[in-house]
Amino acid sequence: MTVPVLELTRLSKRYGEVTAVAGLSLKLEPGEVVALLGENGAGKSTVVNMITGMTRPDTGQIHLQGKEVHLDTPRDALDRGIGVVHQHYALVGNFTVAETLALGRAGPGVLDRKVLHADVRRVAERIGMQMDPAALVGSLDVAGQQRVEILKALSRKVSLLVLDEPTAVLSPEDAARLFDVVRALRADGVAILMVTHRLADVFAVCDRAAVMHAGHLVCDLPVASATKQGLISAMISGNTDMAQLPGLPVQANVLPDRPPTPVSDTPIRVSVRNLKLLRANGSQAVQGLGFDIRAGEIMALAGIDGNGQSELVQCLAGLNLPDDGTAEICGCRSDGHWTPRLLRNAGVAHVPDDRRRYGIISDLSLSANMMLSHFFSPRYGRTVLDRARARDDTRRAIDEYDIRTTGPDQPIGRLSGGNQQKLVLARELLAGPRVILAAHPSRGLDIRTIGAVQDILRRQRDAGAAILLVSADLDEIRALADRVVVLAAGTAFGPVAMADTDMAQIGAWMAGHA
Amino acid sequence: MDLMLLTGLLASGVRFAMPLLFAALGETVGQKSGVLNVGLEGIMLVGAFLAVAFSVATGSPWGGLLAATLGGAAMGLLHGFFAVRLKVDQIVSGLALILLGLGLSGFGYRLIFAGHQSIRVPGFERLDLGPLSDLPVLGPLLFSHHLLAYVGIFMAVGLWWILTRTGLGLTIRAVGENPKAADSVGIDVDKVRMRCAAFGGAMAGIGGAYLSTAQLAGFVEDMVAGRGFIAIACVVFARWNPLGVLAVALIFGIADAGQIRLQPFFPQIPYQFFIILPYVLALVALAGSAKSASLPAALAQPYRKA
Repeated sequence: MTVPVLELTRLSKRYGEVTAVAGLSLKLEPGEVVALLGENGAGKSTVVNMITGMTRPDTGQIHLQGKEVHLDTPRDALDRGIGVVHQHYALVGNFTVAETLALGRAGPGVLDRKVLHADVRRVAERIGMQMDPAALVGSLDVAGQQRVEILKALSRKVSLLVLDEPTAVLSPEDAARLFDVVRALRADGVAILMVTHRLADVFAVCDRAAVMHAGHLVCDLPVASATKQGLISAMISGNTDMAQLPGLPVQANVLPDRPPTPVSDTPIRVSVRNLKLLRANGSQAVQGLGFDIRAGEIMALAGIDGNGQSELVQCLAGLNLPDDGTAEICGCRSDGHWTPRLLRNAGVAHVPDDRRRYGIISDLSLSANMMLSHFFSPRYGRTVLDRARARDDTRRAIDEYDIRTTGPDQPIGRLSGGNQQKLVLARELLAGPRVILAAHPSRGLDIRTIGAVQDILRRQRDAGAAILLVSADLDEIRALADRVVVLAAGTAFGPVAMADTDMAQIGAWMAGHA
Repeated sequence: MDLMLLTGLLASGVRFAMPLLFAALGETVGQKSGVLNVGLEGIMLVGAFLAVAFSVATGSPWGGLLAATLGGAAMGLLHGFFAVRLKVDQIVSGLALILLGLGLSGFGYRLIFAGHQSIRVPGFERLDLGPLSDLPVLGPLLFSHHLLAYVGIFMAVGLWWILTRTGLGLTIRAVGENPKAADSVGIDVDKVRMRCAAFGGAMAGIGGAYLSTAQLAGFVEDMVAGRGFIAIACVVFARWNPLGVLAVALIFGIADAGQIRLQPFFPQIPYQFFIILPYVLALVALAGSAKSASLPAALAQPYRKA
């Protein structure tokens, strides 16, 4: 009989009127990988925060290695052997990997680089990882930075590692490498709690699946006896009847696969020729890219983040000029006038990837955010803003898109990410766009909202919009795209019709293999 | 003759550079930790005043220096209290320090020294290293400064070493680059920033003391005359590197010394044009280094825990 690494007993946490977590009990044995599943708002983050010392439970106990502990600060959790890799990394870009691991562990005195570098290699070797101790963290890609975060956690003595949405930004190949690391840790006796949206992760590497719904743990079962449909049903409705029964169909709006419908007779809305784009730092982001998007078609722009997707979308939205080649959208040409205002007037909608920075203004109300994209259209008046109309539009959007809010006057920053994204979509689609640039429209959203967002895009496509869908998520690409073009390391693969390729091919392209 | 002139220029350039050097070194540490203090001017004024008052009272410039250091640290802590603990806008808090320093020093000076026709301030003596100081060129350039000047140069090197080579430096840089990363490994972000703010204040106080008890001997209202701002320009121009700060402060010091020396040669040009030279230099420097990768990413951003 082993002592559980972590045992949560009837943990509860309320925020005002809202019960975030209600009487949750969960056990992790050494060397066990447990998936914690649930929609946004199901209470997963609160559980993570309680385990990592960010918040204190109202009632219930946490036992570590059989002893009751009170985790009041992140430091308490660290000192007791709980490591966390958050979804948003906490790294210093101009530190080397070795310095990153030394931070907070080394004393105030002189740093011996040799010792620090040996330290990195020792920790990396333990889990079969390659890592250059002298590499600058900022120069690593997302997957590399995640590996640094994992090393950072492992550089202390950890018995429990919490991974928060670890695969959200990884390519399929990098996710596979992450799973290798997880397996190495499991073999080493570390217990792992993996918070995730992705069922693929659960079946790839986890031993048990714990599903939360509305603050309750609705099921906790070995992955070997779980089914995909059952887990989805438990996440969405809290209904566990199907959790172990195979073969039942999923609700219609959850990631349905659809046959790609090629179009060839509709007008070309977006045309890109021999496009070259440089990053802000002068390095080459995209080279020799060419594709057309016709009305009524979804073109997926697949690729791991940082391979020029942002630069391309910003260029097509009029924020940047091409460094070579041309782009043409709805009659506007990049070698002529090419500004966001002109393109918006021509019917271009832009759903930016970094919602908080480019999509919304957190402090402003929903209805004020509603006006942002229509600032230069006469919709809300030329001089004096027609706030009543903006409120009406917002109210309609709240109904139509099922946005959870107290009303059009609530500051949008108070909403969950999914509801913010729904308002952004509502705003962008308000004027019936002819071209939609949708960058990671469902990133970080829960499974129900993802379904809603994908339905919206599909309806727009069927209504005749030309859609550029930037995504790193193969499921999403499969569910939506008619054709796909892949960006990897400055090269473009495709475009190719979805019917003429498969997920393995796209995954290989994303990793840069022809 | 020309050599004499040049030697004199460089030697006095070193003297003119010191108040800038101390203040800018302190500001570098503060900014590295994410605390922007635009109130150096006010702290230097208070330092200059305290140095004079306590030098006179104790009869030793060291007493004055100690008072200026402590007074500067207190003002740095005040800035830290507002900017770090209360998360007030750092520019606003810094501006308040300027006005506070201007008022406190002017008022204090009148309160204590009003009516005194001439006070003799016991200032810092120049070091006399005997034959070394008598060497041609090298003597006046290297071996005839106030002890404080050597301390300043030593501190530039020492701070560079601390920031780049020690765990303490790593902590300070992490707090200024990504406080969340520092917090996530158990570093008390606000505590580190408070200490850096206090250190920055103490150094600005020393810079003021140098001005009133080593470079000059006495206090005049508003005698810092914009050096607090030039010190901030030094930090930016030097890209937050203490060794760079030493170099840039020397350039500004020499420019200042130069403009004084140039004035008599061109009597037809109004002298004000010469006086503005160092400030023009500062403007050009800032314009040229607007977007620097070395800018601490979390500069002037208060840290709130999630």
